[in-house]
Amino acid sequence: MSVLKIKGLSLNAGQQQLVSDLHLSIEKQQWLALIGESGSGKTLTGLAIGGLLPHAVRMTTGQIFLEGQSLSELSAQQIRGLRGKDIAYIFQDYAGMFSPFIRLGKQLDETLQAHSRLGRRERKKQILTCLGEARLPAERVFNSYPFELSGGQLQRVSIAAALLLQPKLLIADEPTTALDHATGEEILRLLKEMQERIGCAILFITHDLKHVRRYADQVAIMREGCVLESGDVRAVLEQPTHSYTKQLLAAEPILLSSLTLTPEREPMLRPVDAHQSMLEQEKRFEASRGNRMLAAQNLVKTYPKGIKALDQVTFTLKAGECLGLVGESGSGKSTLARCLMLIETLDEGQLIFQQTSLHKRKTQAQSFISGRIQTVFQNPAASLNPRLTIVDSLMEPLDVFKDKSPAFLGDCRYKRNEAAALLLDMVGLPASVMRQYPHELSGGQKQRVCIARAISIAPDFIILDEPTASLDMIIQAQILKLLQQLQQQLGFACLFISHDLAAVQLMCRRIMVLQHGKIISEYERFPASSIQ
Amino acid sequence: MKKLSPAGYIVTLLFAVLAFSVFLVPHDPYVVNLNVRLLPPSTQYWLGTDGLGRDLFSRLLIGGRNTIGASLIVLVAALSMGIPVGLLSGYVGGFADRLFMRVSDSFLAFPDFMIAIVLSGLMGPDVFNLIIAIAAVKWIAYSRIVRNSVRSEKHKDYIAIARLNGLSSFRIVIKHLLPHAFSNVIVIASLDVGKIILMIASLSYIGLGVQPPSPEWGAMLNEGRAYFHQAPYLMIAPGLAIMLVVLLFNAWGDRIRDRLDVKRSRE
Repeated sequence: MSVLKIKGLSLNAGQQQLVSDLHLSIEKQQWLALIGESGSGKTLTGLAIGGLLPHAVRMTTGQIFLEGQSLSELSAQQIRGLRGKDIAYIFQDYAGMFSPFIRLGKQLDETLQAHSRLGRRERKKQILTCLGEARLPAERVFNSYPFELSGGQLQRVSIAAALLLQPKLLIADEPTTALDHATGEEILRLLKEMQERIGCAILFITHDLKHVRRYADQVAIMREGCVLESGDVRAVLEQPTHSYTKQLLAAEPILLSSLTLTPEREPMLRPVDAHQSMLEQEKRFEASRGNRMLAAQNLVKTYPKGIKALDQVTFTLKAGECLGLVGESGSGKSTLARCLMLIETLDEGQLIFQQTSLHKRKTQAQSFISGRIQTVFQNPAASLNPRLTIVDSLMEPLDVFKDKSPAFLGDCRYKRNEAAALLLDMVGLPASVMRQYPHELSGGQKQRVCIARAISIAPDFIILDEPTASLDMIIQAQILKLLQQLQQQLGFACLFISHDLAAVQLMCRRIMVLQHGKIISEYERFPASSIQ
Repeated sequence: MKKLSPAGYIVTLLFAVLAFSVFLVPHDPYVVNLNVRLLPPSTQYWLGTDGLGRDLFSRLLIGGRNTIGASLIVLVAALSMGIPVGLLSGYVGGFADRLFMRVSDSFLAFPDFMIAIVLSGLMGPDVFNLIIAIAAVKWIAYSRIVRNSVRSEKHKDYIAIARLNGLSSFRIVIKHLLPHAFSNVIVIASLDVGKIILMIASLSYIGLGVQPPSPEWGAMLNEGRAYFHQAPYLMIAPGLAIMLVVLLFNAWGDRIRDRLDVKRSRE
């Protein structure tokens, strides 16, 4: 008998159908991955199982069975009894799962108290073993407040909490999204281990194909509230039948590594001929040999409490070159970017941009770089003023630099709306978004607007500070493709900062690795000709 | 042009009535006629007459103009003081900010009313002094709101980008920070209209504001107190008027908040 069976589930919010006619089943000890982009209804499906739907959302049709028992026949109280005991949850937002002012041990104890008849000592013993199994220092964590632990540790605690009562079904809703890559892997490995020991079934909600490949047995692909395709992981991912699955798979190799692109599987979203783009870069690189655009020497930035964010960073950048900068979170990548933009002042070191030194006379330096350096930040929502319409945000640089007239704008330069429409067209957006506010656009669209703004005055140098990190996979691939295309077309130099080596490799010929504020290695990619 | 809300219509109507109150009054509000003192409401005197035989309805209209007019002047004065100081303190930070915070702390350490009473008491009972006293108390709260909203916005990426784009500090403040701060402060301010009306009325009630024979709602309450048993309507009418206007401005303030919210106004 399947642990979980969902038959024809439909969820509505008012008139809007969020999930329609969804069928799923999970067998004992199975790991089912539910994959889809944001807004596809995967999280709501997970919440519906435990009766945790938000008030506005109603289950219109369908039935959910847990080991043959229909959940819709149970009272709210009976479902509450099941939750935590038979159905457990792990969420993306690990910090939100715990009350900030109560010790973790006490919080875990509450769950146990609600569902079992054990005495106080026995409960504590059980919690400690459970924490220990999650490879945490049990005693210390038991007496800690949530803020005393790291993100990865807290997510471990929430796994320990979920598995405390040995549930039959564990629903893990993007448990690794808020964690950095290495920690995310550890969490999933732990989850797999725990699953094998307890023997529960897992519904794993994610948008990451990599994790699905590595851990799941079954996969269901969801889009716009429908399951498009489901079945054995290998079967579905190797022989996808639905066009969306193919698109999803095609988006992936770009991010994994452009080197592993297999020519026989024609992906729908191929990069703009990576080979061609590399050659272009090389040509420009050769042409501008000796033409240093940016030279940084021994940059040092120390934050209060003696934390060295940058430690003797030295590098150079030539006109039209794309330089990659890779590092984990906290390695000082963003600090470097902010120092280059002169938002933060360097403690030591020399910074020379186009033969002008930037490390002294701050206001003069600032006015020198403005109009020459542009940037695209990680979070597109914060990069646009929420109170301004898109056209006002987009045209800010052109409005300031009245005398700049990039060639690609041609005659439209001084016709505000036409110039905006042209810029939006260059990044693949319709001109109609001009009159909208940022909140009416999706994350990917907002990031396109930010890119359009960055290129609008044809800067010499663009700093890309994790431009794709907050977007889901298909959108990431699209944005990367767009950036590559624009770089090729306009020939600006760029510093591409990311924690994702694959994304950087796609655009950059030369890559630096930053760790604890130091550049620990720097390597050049093989010349494009030797790949083929 | 967006549609006016019901509260908006009533506020507009109220302003119109008060603006033309001089032409609308059925009797001269200042003429004393002891033959008709303390008459109950009738068709000739709609709300009756007060202890000196003056028409209560006429006094209520002219008094409303004084009360509401004074409170709006207070508001404008407090905002035009509070917003620039808040912007400066929030954007520049450092010493200016610390100085402002300590000054505002010391103001906030005392109850509003006490400071207003002391100030207007020192300057002497007069409407103008009353306005200055209340504005001096109120601007602190506005500039703190502006300061906090500036501080929360100024580290966002779009400000960094604007700076990189060579916008001067002044233009960053005007273009990006002021609209944000203004929408926060205007909501509080419109909700404050009610409180300011009450404050003016209360201070007039204890004799510090509008001086007789000029009518003012708070002062009218005070005058009616002596005849409470014979003619309760002398207190009921201005009391109700204050209550309704305060409610009205509160409703209007809610409405303005919704209107200024870019996310809500589209729906």
